Amino acid sequence: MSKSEELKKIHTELRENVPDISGVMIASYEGLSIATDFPEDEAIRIAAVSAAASGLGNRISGNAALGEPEEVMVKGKDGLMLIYLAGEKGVLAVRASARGNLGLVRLEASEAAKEVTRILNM
Amino acid sequence: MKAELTENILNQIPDSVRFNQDDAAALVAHQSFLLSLEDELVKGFYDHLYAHETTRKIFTDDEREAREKTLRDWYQRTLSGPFDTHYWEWQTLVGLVHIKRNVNNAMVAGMWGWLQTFLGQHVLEKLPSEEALKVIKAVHALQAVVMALISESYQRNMFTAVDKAAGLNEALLYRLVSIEIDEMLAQAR
Ligand code: HEM
Repeated sequence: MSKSEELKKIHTELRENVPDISGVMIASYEGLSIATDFPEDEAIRIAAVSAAASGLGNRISGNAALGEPEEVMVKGKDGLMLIYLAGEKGVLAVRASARGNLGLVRLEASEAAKEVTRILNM
Repeated sequence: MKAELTENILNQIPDSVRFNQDDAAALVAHQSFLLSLEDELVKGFYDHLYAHETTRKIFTDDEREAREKTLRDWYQRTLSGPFDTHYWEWQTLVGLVHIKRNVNNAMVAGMWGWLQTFLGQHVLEKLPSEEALKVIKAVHALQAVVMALISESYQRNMFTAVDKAAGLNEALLYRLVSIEIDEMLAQAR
């Protein structure tokens, strides 16, 4: 399987396993979309701001002595976005319902981020 | 100041138009004539800056003498050469010193324009035209390199600072800017 097929698989599985997730973005650390199901016009910006959020999260955890950064969460009234660093090269962002099963979303998404890290480092 | 940054910026300008040995030789060859213009140049330069409200506000009340001295030193050093990495790095640093005092690129570019015209008029009056043109070309090429160093190093230093402070790497910043510029262009067209 090629890298992009593997990434696509992670992303499809996340959507299938966690119904509360309504969008997945795998982006490079430069903010380019690699695999996503966000509509194309939204994806351009979501990829860029997800990479930005993970960079900023990284600095916040460094400055506030939080240890290795794991997750950045942005919560709105209607939903939330969870952003994970996927190694040095990428980020994984998922959009989920505000009323969904947050525990499951986080568990699956953080596992998926580890997979994305492995694939991007190959 | 990092030598690589200066070198990298210099290398963006095509060799064939970049300030070169002939330009350096033209300035040094007419050094004594150009130095004879120093008093008038320094006075004119600051008369303009002090007469304009926006640029006047940059200076503290008791600063003119010190500023005239820095411009004199710069002019003398420039006319003596050599135009080596050390000189170009210094120009990049002068750019940063200006930024620290809120002197922006518009102000500096404007004064470079004045400086070029001032020197151009005097050399055309006093030197044989072939020599005058060599000096004019040298001053233009010098201005282009110095403005390139100042403006590019400002942008790149700002990007580095944003990366350090907020974790937004240079490639990502270019990406964010490019997305917004696409939209601005789409709206403008
Ligand atoms: C052709 C354009 C210009 C040249 C070649 C030039 C050159 C210089 C140089 C060589 C220095 C000393 C830097 C050092 O510490 O090594 C300096 C400092 C300074 N310049 Fe300029 N300058 C230019 C335009 C301007 C303009 C347009 C302004 C104000 C509107 C300005 C205001 C200042 C100030 C305030 C400082 C002192 C900075 C500090 O040490 O606090 N300069 N300039």
